Amino acid sequence: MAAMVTLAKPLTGAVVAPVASGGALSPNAGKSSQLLVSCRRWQGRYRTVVNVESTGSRFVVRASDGEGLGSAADAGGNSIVLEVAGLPEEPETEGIGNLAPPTSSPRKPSPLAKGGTLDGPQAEGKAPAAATLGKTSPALSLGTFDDPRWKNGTWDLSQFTTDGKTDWDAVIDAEVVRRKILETNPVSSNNEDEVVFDTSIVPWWAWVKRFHLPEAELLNGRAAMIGYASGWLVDAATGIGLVDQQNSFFGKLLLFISVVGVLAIRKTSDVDTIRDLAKESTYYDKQWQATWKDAKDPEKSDAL
Amino acid sequence: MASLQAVITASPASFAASSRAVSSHSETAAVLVPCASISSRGVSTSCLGFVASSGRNASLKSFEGLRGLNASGPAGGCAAETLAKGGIETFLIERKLDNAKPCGGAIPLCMVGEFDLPPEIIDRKVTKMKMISPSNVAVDVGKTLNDDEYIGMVRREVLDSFLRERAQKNGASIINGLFLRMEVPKDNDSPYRLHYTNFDGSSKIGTPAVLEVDAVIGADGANSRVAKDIDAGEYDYAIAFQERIKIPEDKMEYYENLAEMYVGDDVSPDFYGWVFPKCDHVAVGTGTVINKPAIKKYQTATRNRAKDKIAGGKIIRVEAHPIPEHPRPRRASDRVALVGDAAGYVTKCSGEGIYFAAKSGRMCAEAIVEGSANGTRMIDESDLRTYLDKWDKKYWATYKVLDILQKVFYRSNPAREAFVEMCADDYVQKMTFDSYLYKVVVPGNPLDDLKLAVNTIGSLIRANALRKESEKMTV
Repeated sequence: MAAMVTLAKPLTGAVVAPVASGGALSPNAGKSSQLLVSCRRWQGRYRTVVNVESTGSRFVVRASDGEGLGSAADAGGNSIVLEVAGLPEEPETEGIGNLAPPTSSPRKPSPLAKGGTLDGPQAEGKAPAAATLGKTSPALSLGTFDDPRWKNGTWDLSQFTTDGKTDWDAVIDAEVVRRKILETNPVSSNNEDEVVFDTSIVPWWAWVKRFHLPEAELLNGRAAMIGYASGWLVDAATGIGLVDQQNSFFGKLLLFISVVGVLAIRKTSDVDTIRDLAKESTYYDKQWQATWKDAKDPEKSDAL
Repeated sequence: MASLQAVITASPASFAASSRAVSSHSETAAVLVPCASISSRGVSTSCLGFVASSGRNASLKSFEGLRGLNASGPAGGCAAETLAKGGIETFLIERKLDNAKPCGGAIPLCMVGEFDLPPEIIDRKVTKMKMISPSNVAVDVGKTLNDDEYIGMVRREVLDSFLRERAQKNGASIINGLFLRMEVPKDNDSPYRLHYTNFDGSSKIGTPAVLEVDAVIGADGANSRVAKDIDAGEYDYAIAFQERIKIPEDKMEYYENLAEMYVGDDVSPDFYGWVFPKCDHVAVGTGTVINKPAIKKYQTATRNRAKDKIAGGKIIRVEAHPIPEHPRPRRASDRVALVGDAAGYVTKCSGEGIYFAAKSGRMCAEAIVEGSANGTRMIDESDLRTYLDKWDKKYWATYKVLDILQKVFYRSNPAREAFVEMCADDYVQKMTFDSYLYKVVVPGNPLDDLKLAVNTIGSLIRANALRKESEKMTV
């Protein structure tokens, strides 16, 4: 009855062929009715699901083959589980906009498709990480992390040292490679080889030298160019020299704005980012205060 | 630091509304019984069939002192107990009295004391946690706990029935029934009419009945019908997906009193994956808000990350449920208030909801008891707003801090790496556990706070620098 209704709703790309007549299940039937659901090809494998048994009020779904739910990294769907509940498959997610559009069918979108207060593509969210989808670049997917300088869950600094001087840049490079490999091909974490690496073993000046200084140079260069150009233009326009330009409050204000601007806004999209951040920081507060907006007596909670 | 609990509450049957039957293959009788949330069509046909033959009315008592409660997880149970102790006639409508609701199952220490929970309810006392970053940096958390501090792991069916029975002992009436809908009265004195299907055994599919009450507390979870009936509005929600896996004995020893948290883009784009020990098996799960259709891929990734530790296990149950992300726009309306998940009181970052459900149930009930002077006069919306006001004042800081933590540390892989790195610090662990276990936002030592701030910024900068560098790589 209701059971059949739920399962027999056709999934996108699935064809339901009830073997039992009419697809009706009498609740007292002790025998099982076979429901063959052929799902469309998913990651190259054809899956048939399921032996649906209805015994009284129990509703058991068991996979007919012992295969797991498939694996993003293809590395373990079979190894863990001996018996898995076979769940009807969903179409493969390829990012936003690949799901059945909710407007075409009058059916209410499922909880997996709608997003509460969001709808449309915003509700469907961003595409999963490449690792989740199993899409990795061929070079990286071949690589597993295997570096002889990695000992006991951290970098063996003695191998980076020559004549008593540690090459921190090489440590940073090695760690970057390690993280990249592991983020694209996540590996199971196990207790024998625990990773204990902490980025703070690389001293602060190494970080400053490698990352901060080049960027500081860049930004200062920009600021200098903009500053010189605008100083020249103002001088040409008004005859006020560089020193006198900054003596007024207005001049100082403009200077401040340009310095902050150069630091904060590097690309045009940064403006949107900053605006979104500002909105985001107060969004949660607004959601909590929503209940007070339509209060009959305007007793706003002081804590918010 | 995030605490480890992800709460997935309320009946799996209501989640079966999705076209994908993520059904728990267990005793969910909702399959054969028309469940209100599956389709409204299903409900009306069954109701229409029986309306002709006697809708059984609850006998009308005097208007003072009739309250109704909807559904009973921890919120409903605690609210009913407080109402009953306050001398108010309370009815608790619960669809399935032995329901094993999908849930992470972790409760803070303060809950045991505040709600007088007996020790038998707690299956396991978790005293160690492991946080695992995207690049598998593993940090052990919990060395700052003293000997009698722990995170309790409970089975929801055990906890819920204990609270319910305690409410019953104090005078609440438990109705085994399925709440269908509620008629909102036009004026301040008429009662609310609750339509429900009574499973009193006289018929296999239950008899429709009506209960008239003066006030309603909606404690019916994330898919609350009461909320729908009062137009409480929508909330954003995460889908949490969990598999219970029975692993071999020697592997189970590792999880004796240890829980794990995995973070990473592969595991979830905005939440975490977990392995929590239960009574004799582990629960492995994950959740997400922004990419719900890919939840099964995230679950596979979580299983893969824990593969070595759960190899040879057998999945004994699969469950999933929505978890609210923020409160509903309207949490109280006339004489109806929402508590627990129905109101949306689940924290961000950790997804904790059991304690807040129980506490909000209690606070709402206390407000009603006070507002009605122990059941002698009718309440109105301002009494319920008192509860909202107290709640917001007391817990706003907790929710906001966790929101900030989620926004900062669950943003991207570098942020998560920094997060795990920060968790190695003793001060962070102490602060986190103090605030989680006792539900107070502790201010701490300002000098240490400053050091913490500097370290946090440092970790974030370093992790992001590594990420920028890796993007330049063409390997």
